[in-house]
Amino acid sequence: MGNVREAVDSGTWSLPQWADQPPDPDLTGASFLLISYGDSEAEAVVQQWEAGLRRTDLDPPVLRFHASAFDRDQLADKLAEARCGVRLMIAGGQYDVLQAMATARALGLETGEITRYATAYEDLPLFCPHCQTTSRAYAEVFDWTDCTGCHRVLTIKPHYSSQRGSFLGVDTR
Amino acid sequence: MTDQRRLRVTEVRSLCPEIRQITLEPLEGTALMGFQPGSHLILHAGEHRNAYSLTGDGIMPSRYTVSVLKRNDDGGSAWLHQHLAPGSEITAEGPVSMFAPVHNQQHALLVAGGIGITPVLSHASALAALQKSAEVIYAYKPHRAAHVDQLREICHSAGFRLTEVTSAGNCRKALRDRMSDQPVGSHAYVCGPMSMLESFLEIGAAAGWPEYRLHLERFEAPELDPGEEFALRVSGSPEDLRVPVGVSILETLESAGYSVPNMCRQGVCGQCQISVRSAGSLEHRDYVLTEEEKAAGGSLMVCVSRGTDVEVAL
Amino acid sequence: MTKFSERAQGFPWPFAEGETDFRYSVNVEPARVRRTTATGGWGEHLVDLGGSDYTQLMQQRREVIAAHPERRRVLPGMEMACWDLLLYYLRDMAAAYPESMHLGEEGKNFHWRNDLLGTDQAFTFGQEESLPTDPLTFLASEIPDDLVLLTERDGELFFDAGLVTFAASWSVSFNVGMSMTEIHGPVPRMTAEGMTRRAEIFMRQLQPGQAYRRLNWSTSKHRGERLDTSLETYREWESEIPQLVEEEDWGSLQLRNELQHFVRLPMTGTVAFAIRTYILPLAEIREIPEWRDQLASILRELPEDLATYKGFGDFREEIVDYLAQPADSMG
Repeated sequence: MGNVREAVDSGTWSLPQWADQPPDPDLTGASFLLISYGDSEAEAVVQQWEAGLRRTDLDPPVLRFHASAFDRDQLADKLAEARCGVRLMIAGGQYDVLQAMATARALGLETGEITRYATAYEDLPLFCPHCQTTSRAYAEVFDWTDCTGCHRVLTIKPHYSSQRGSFLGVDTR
Repeated sequence: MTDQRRLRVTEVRSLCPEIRQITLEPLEGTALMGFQPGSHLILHAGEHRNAYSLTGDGIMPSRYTVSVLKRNDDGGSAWLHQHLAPGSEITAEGPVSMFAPVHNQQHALLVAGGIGITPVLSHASALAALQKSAEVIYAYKPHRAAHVDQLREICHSAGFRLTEVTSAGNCRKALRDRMSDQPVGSHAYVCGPMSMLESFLEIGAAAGWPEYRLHLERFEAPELDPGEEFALRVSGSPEDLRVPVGVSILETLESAGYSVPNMCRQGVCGQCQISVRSAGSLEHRDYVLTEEEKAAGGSLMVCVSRGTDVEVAL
Repeated sequence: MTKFSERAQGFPWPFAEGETDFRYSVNVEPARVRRTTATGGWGEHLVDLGGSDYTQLMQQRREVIAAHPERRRVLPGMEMACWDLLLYYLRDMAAAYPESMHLGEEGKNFHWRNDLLGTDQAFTFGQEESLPTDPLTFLASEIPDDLVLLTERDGELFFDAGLVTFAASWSVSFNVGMSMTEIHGPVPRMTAEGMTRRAEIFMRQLQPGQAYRRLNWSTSKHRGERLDTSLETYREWESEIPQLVEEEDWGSLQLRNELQHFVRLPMTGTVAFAIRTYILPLAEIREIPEWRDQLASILRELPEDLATYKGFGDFREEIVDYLAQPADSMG
């Protein structure tokens, strides 16, 4: 590499990227599974997605459901009924959306088949490497928070795993 | 280029008119390398080097098997049909993997047309051995149903399903029917004639399959536009070469005395990949490089791709 | 008689002769080529047993595996890749160390013997019940390397399985399933200069059975012989370096060097990424004039972000001064 001395942005962290506005549906899909978690705001986003899909010439099959919080088995059941070619669209609070996304990936969907929108950022999934628990943390990156598994105080690192759908916490008191 | 080795023919069996199965074993004291499903072996057939799909599951093989269709316009397959008998030795390269399964697939849809059954059989055998699920569509002409018995037996495994079709129309119908009814997380693989590959891509896209779930093994490529004449330089050489209309970079380099590894000469096998030092523009026409690699412009398949003011490093 | 310790003689010094500055690069070369150094040499074999400390090192490794099952992570679909890895390495070791390692083969039945550790195990390829543990744990208990398996999906490499006991402050249980780009997010200059991408293209072009290697150096996160500085046990080692700095005990600071091998496994196309960790205290490096002078010049020149990442950020002047003092003034 020789003497490359240009200023380098050493702050390249891995963080989930969020859109400011609900993204448009991916019309290359043949069917759609729309999920909202939590409040009525998320439900409104999903209804808007559905209305948009109904207006297209394609008028694809759309399955929509609402849940108060992310539930792994519920999502797994819906995906087992869906067929390859489906697009998953999720709206809700950050924790629920990221956990749903990781579950969908574990069950075979790739990021390119998932559209997501966070209506709130007050919580996030936090993985504790010391006890292996993933907590719903009401905190932000660089905050300190308790692990619900081992009660260690964790710093939330700006490091996110889309496979786990969680941020990394480390006990650095 | 991959390592060469000598192999011994232990059996030559006629599967149907024009298709012979050749079984190869290592010479004494050597072991065969395992391979990924869908891999091919390059056989030295007289003056030709031809690629043939290995039909086995690739898990610790004690022998390699390939099935050779005799083509009129192809000296290599005719040579193999004529010269190979039990006991003969042959030079082989590989195995080379260019049609591998995606390891975390939830399920596979395997589509074969004609002699394209060979890599599909390899995929199906491996999935059966690992107790995974798969669905197979096999399109063939009734008198040329190579490996159909073997395939039927594999498809008796739990989680397997087989659809056999014997006309192009029925093949499209089967593709429409089956591509819209696979589980989430499936990957689909096809090997067959050009028209089948096109149907597969078109029907797959209509059924909502993203491109990264559709995998193609090409054994023929479409006719290419002859293109324009352009300038070519080889790094370190003062000479300026011209690549004429209808002539490839590979042919131009060969006429100028350079030796470039190559095989299929139609942008499919990936052997003639050459580093690009600089270029006014590049026109990638191969099926090997990813869109990202093509956009980066760091290398070129010189058998088919063209450009303007290209400088290559050999 | 040689004046250098066994570990100094086998230490894969990470800098080329005459190199006086350092940047990240995809510094890969073919594996199994011996390099000579100022003290001895390294690199003849894929697996470096290390000499007389091999049994002690494997004891340390087995203790970590037993106490921390989370250091082994295998995502669904990676089972065959673990067997592919096991077979490749056992065959390699039997060929590299015929006096002490033996692999009998008959079809899918194998018999592995490692005289140095006293392992004597028959097994059938692909049948987990024929081994006392899963194949990844079995291999990790025979070789000193940390093991990571990378697979390719849609043009990207993913870390889909691994058994890592000597991680340099990272967590295998967090990183498993991540792409190379995601994992290397926090490494200065890696992604920024397209290095991750280039390393990825290199690994994707590896042919079945091919093996390459590179070296990656930093400072150790602790004093002493222990190699387990993973994030899981952060609290057990995090105070050691601050304490060393407070005591200005620079001679105990250790250069930590990873000899990384990349092998494309034939039956699954998985890229095995094996990490052999070496440590050498500065007190020993100062005894070796070529290494001492080169390290000092490289440290002096290292850009701030890299110095911090390599673990020299807060005290590199002190280290440079320490290396410049004559060794015998220490008494």
